[in-house]
Formats: sequence, C-alpha cells, structure tokens
Amino acid sequence: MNQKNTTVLGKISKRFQGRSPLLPIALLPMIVLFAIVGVFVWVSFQTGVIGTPDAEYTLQNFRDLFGDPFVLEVLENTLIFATSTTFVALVIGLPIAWITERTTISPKELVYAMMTTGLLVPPVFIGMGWTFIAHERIGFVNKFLMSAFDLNTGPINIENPIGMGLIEGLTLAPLAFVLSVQVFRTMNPALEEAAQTSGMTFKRTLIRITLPLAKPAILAALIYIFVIGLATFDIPAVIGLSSNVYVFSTYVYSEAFPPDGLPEYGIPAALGTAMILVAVVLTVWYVQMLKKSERYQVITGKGYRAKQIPLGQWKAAAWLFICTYFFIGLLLPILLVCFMAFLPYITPPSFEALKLFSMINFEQMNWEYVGRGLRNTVLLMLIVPPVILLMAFCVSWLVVRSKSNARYFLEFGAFLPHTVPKVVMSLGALLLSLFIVNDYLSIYGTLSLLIVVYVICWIPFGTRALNSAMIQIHKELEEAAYTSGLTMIRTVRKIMLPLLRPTMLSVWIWTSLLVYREMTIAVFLISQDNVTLPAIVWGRWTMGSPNVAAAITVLMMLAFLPLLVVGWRFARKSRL
Amino acid sequence: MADNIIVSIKGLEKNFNSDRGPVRAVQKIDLDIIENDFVVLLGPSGCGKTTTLRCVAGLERPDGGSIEIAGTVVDSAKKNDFIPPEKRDIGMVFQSYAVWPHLNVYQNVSLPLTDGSRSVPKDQVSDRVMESLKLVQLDGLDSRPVTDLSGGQQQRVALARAIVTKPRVLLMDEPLSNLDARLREEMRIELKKIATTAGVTTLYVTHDQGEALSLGDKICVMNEGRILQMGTPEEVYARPPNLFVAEFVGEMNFIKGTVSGPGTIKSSLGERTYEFKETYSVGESVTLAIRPQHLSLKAVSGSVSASPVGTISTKTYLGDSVLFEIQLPEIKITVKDSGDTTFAEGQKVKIVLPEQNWHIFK
Repeated sequence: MNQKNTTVLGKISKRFQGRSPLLPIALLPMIVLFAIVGVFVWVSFQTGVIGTPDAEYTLQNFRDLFGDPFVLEVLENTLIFATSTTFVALVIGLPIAWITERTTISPKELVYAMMTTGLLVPPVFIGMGWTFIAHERIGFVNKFLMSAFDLNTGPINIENPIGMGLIEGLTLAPLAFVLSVQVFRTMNPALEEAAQTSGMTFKRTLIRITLPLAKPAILAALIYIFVIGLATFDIPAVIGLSSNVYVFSTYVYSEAFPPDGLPEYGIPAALGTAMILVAVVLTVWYVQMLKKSERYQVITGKGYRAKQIPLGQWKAAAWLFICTYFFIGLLLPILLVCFMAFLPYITPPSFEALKLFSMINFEQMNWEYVGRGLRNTVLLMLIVPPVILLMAFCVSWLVVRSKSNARYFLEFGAFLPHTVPKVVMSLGALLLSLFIVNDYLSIYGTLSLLIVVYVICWIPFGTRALNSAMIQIHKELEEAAYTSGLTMIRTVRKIMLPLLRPTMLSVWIWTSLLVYREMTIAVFLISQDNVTLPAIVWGRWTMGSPNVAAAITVLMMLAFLPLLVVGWRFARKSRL
Repeated sequence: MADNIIVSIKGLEKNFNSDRGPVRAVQKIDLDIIENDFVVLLGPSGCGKTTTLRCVAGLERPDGGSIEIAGTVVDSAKKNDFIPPEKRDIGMVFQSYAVWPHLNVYQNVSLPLTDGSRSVPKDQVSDRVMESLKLVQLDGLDSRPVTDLSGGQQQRVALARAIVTKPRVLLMDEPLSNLDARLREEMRIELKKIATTAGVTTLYVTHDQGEALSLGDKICVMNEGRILQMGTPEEVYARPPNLFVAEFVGEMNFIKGTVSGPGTIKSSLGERTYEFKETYSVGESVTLAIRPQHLSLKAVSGSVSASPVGTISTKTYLGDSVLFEIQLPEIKITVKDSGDTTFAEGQKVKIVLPEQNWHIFK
C-alpha cells in the first residue's frame, strides 16, 4: 500500500513539473483522510469480527440498516432535527446580519461582539444550560409552571428532535450571521442605487434586487448549516441521549460505545457511509451556490460601502431582537451553568437556592484528572494550529498559484473533510488506529491520534481562509519578486508571508479556539491518557453528575477567558 | 556584426487551454532586439504580445521555439533548458505596478539588491537605490509607505525597482494603462527619457498606438499570435503592409472598390486613377485607404468637378484641428482640417482627393 502511494505521489509531483517541494506536505493530510474514510467504508461491508479472517464480506449491514424500523426513526429524527436547526439559525442570524450591515444601527462593534462570542462558546455549555432551563423534569421553567398550574409533567419538552434543533439553532445562529453578513457587506451598492434611480422604492429594491442578489449566498449558508445539523453530536448527545432520543450521530455513538455488550461497528459504518454520500451531494450543491454568489460580489476598496438605511423608530425593535437572542441563546444558559456549578444538586434558581451555595463541586473534584485534561487541551491548542497553517499554506499555494490540473485534485481533497461528519471521521480514526495500524504504530489512546484527526478536520478552515487571502494578493506582486531576482523560498519569506500575516494569525487563533471547544472527536477517541477538558465535562454529565460538569465548565471558561478576548478582538478586526 | 543582439526569439509558440478549447496565443514568432533599442509590441488584447513578453521574463514556458538573452539560451522547448525568471538578467514593470504594499519606497527598491540573485555588496545598496530613485524623481520619498503614493508615483517605484539591478533587458507590460490620460502623457515622455538615461534595452507591451508611435525605436505590430509588421514608427505609420495594421495604427478611411482598368479603381468616390504598387487584375475587389489629414474640404462652387460632394454630418473640435464626418451618398468619410476652419455642420462641401498617400489593400 505504501509502495502504491509513493508512485501516485510521484506521478502527481511529475505533473507539477517537479517544481514544488510543498506537494508532499499538502498531500499528507489527504492521504490520511482517505485512509480513515477507506477503513470506514471497508468496515461497512463486514460482519463478524472485523479485520480478522472471521470477518465476512456482505451487504448485510446495509440491508439491516434500511430494514430496521429503529434506524428509520433515527433518520426521521435527524431530518427533523437538521431542519429545525437550520430554520432557527437562519431566522435569527439573517435578520441580524442584514440589520448590522445595512442599517444605521450603532455601535456595530457591539453586535459583532455579541454574535462572535456565540461562535466561541462550546455548544455543550449551551446544551447543558438549556437542560437546566427546560428539561421536562428538572428544567426550572417546567418546575415553575408545574407548581404554578398544578401539573404532573412539565409542559415544555426539549428532549425531542424539534426541541434539540431549536437549541442547536441557537448555537448556530452566529454562524448564519457570519456567513450572510459577508454578502450584505460585499454587495455592489451601485446595483441598489441603480434600482433607486430607476424609481423603485426601498421595499421594491429589497424584494427585487437585494434579496435575489443575496439568494445564492443565503442558500449556501442554509445548505452549510443543514449539513452541520445532519451530523452534529454535542447537543443531541447532551440533551437527547438520557431520554433515548437518537439522531444519526448519537445512534452511531451508542452502537460503538454501548453501555453493555459488544460494540457494533458494521451497521453504524454503513449508516455513516450513506451519510458521507448525502453530505458530498449537499456539499457539491453548496460549492455551486457559493460560486454563484461570488459572481455578485464586488471586491471592496476602502470607503466603498453599501448605503445604510436609517433605522429611526425601529432602532429599539432591532436592539430588542438582538438582545433577546443574546439572552436566551447565550447569557441565560451560561448563567445557569455557572449557578449549578456552586450547588450540590440541581435546584431551580431562587433566593433559597443561594443558601445551598458551596464550593463542594470544586473540593471533591478529581484534580489530577482535570489537570491532565487541561494539559492535553492546552497542548492540542498549541500544536494543532501551526500544523494546520503549514499544511493549509502548502495546499493553498499550490491551488491558487499552480497551473497544473493536479490543483483541482488538491482543492477537492482539502475540501473533503467538510463533507465527512465528525462522528464518521472519529469512528474511522478509531477503527484505523485499533484494527489497521495498531501492529506497527500504537497510536490509539495517545494525544497524537487526536492531533491527526483535529488537523484533518480543520484543514478546510485554513485552506479556505488562505485561498481567498492569496487570491487577493495580486499575482504580479509575486512575479515582480521573481523578476527582481528573488528565489521562490525568498519570495515566500519576504513577500507572501508578510502579506498573509493577518490571515495566518486569525486562522491560528480561530483554529485554537475550535480545538478548545471540540467535544465530538475527543469523546470518540479519548482514553485515560489523552482526555481533554470538554471530554471530561461530557463524561461527568453522562455519569449523572451535572453539577460537577457545570463546575468544570466554569473552570474551562475562566481558564480560556483571555483567549476568548483575543479571539473576540480578532473577529472584530477581521471585519475591516 | 556591429549591432549587438540582446534578445533573440526564434519560432516562439505558446498555447493555452481555455473553456472553448485550446488557444494558440503565440504562433511561431521570430524577433531580434538590438542593444539599447526601445522595442514596442503593439496589438489588440489577446494578440499574444503580453504572452511573448512573459515568455521572455520566464513567467510563462513556451510550447515551441527558443529565447536567448545576451547570448545565453534561457528557454528552449526542445532541450528543456529553462532558466527561471529570478536567474535572468531582466527587470520588469507590471501593469498593476505590483509594488509590495508591506514595504516602503526604499525597501521596495532595495529588495532586489539585498535578496535577489543580482545582489550587490551591502555598502553599495543605498547608493544604488538612491540613484534609481533620483532617476525616477522620487528622491526624498524613500521612507514613505508605498500605499500612500499616487498611481503615478507607484509606477515610478516599480520602474526604479526594475532598473536598480541594471538589467540587460527591461520588460514593461502596459505600464501606463492604469494611469489617467493626462498623467499617461507625462509619464510617456519620462519613461523614454529614463530608459535612454539608464541605457537599457527595453521591450514594451501596449495596445495604445499613440504610446507605441511616440515611445518605440521599433514597433512590432501583432495580431492573433503573429507579427504583422516590424519597423520604425514612421514606417509603420506610413506604409502599413495590410488592412489590419492600417486600421490599428492611426486613423484611416476605408473605401471598398473594384479595379476597373490599368491604374483605375471604381468606388463610391467615382472612377479614379491611383498609383498601383502591385499588379491587380481587372474586376478584383480592393479596399482603398487614406488618412483623414490627407483629405481637405472645399466650398461647393458652381463649376462641375470630379470631387465627391457631401454634407457635414458632425464636426468635432479638437483645439488644434477639427474632425469632420462627411456623409456621401453611400459612405461616410472622415476629414481632418486645421483648427481655424469655418465649415459648419449641415453644410454641403467638396472633398479634395489627393494624388498621393493612398493605400490599396486586397
């Protein structure tokens, strides 16, 4: 297999005319990704003890999959959940994006700060907070309503696909905001001005010009969020697992990590394989929409801004909308998590509850274990971003600057991790490390395994940012260096890197924040040694100590507060 | 040989793949550039002039033919002996200026000397940079960020950067096309001065015929990947070898006609005698061409004459001259007259046709 790879590598580098020493670095993550997905697909065609001579190659898994009424229910749940998620995220994110960019609302920085904070907070925290708020039995709103109206069960129920989608939508609204704010900012103002000078009213212009122009980008954002909704793990796991409400990701998890009995890999692998196909189709559609939307954009120069609509008396309504979202989507759940961290058991917030306040959760915490989680998380945050930057730089350089046809392959390969659900990637990495490479390389249970998967997972993030930054750097700036006698290495060092520095810094900060908040991959791949803080939070939560989980969450937020501030400042800066 | 050939292009070919199939951008071009000459490649967009220039720079690899700079083969498609741009003795000025935005004026100009293959000892860098900046009249602005400069100043920085290494060949790719009209005129004169002072062989690409005529020692008119004419500005202007060059360089009236006898052509201007430089058979279709300034107008008098009579449909005042568009029964003719003419729109006039200055194209 190794032999084959080198010849393929050789062929591809030949197509680059042997001019690029960057190629092997660019190809490495893709080869690992193909290996992970390959193993996953391979397992989906096996029954029995996989990877051994006892394994049987069959289509049985796929037959079981679509014949099983439970799996069909899971699929139905997943669809409902993803739809609900997308709907909520867009209904909140789009209007706020439009208000921020196209009206006179001020200070805009505040809106950006509120929305980007939402991007930084791990969704698990929000899921936990909302469990404390609206869980059928323990949620304080339900408890209040039950006692007020003398009910036997709580009237509000979030442990269902629609409810979980609602919470997931709240956590993804900032993403919808970020994806669409771009469109409203880069839209050519002359197009709207032309409509106005043609005698169209504000409303007509909005309906006939602005929205149709924004449509491909909005549709792209919709597909993007829907794909996330199909695959996401955090919130369905935190809220749904205890009530036996399963979606795709939690189903795969519960099969691979059953509370009792042997893990079942074949059927979840079959489901995951099907899911990859769906995601690939959706992603191709997404890319098409994105390309279409880019046609409508203008590259903005300084002081080139779309006209802003005076808000007038609508100002209060706009702020009310934004603040309401901020409160229920972020502030309230986090406040509740903080509140529960100081209580020995779940108690609705009240003045009486304050009397129960204590540090007991912190005192009885397994500090050695938490310390290990902290150390691993910090290590990951330090190691993963530079590796991603290095590889993404190589990929982007070749994609943007090379003339060879192989660049299309690279572009596709770098985008592929987007389409592979994290659950699939993690389980694939688990299977690969346990059953294939274990004899040569005992990587399972080590931090290195997490590093590999994290890097592959967020390479598209880096290549996307660097691609667009490199495209904006006029090719002639680089050519001027060559004709001035600079070698390629020097051109990179003296011209390209300094020009790309802002983008690289922001990719660095953002990927380290993504690492900080990542739970899914860790949950699938941790053992005692390579545990991370989010995984510890998850562990405590599922083992029935929600207050301890809340206490660790508070620690996590405090420990990384400085980084959150940096990330927040960067989000504000990258706006300009 | 007395003339020293600095750039020698032989049988250059370059193809591109576009959405609509392969495009033959450059088709077997031969071109020799003599030391200290200012050669302009002139042609419409897509004619292959920029591709040719980029092949000389080494930014594109040709599919056929070879290029020599100062006697060294820098690229030949057959032998695959490619010398990359950074190893070639060239300087280049780009259409977008391509000044590095993160460096100031001094740093932009000094980088080729400190980090390039043609670097000089450290103690000479400052002198060389200052010399270059002085030549482009930017001395005193050396510590400014380039992004603070105007377009014209940025172009000067780009020029200083290109000549600071004292290259054998200076390549310029439409360097003036991003400037506004007034500035372009100014820079045009200065470019020529700087190139002469620096004593550098220059290959210059433009689509602007005015630029080509005023700048070039030699002009090379290109279309569809081929060289149509190579000559001094005077030659190109006065003796276009074909319809394309005649149309592209300067203004020209074209009148379709048929050869009606030895030395006579029948056209909308009537049957007239012309000086034939080639042999034509009777009945052959030809195109007559004449520049507007070789025609003049006369008031219509009572006497009958052979001169065609038309009505002035538009009059465009240009200050030193006036352009008239004369509507004849079948065609429109443009006539350039001196600025103090008294003819007015709507007036009937006679067009005076000269004996000389006609071009006849098949």
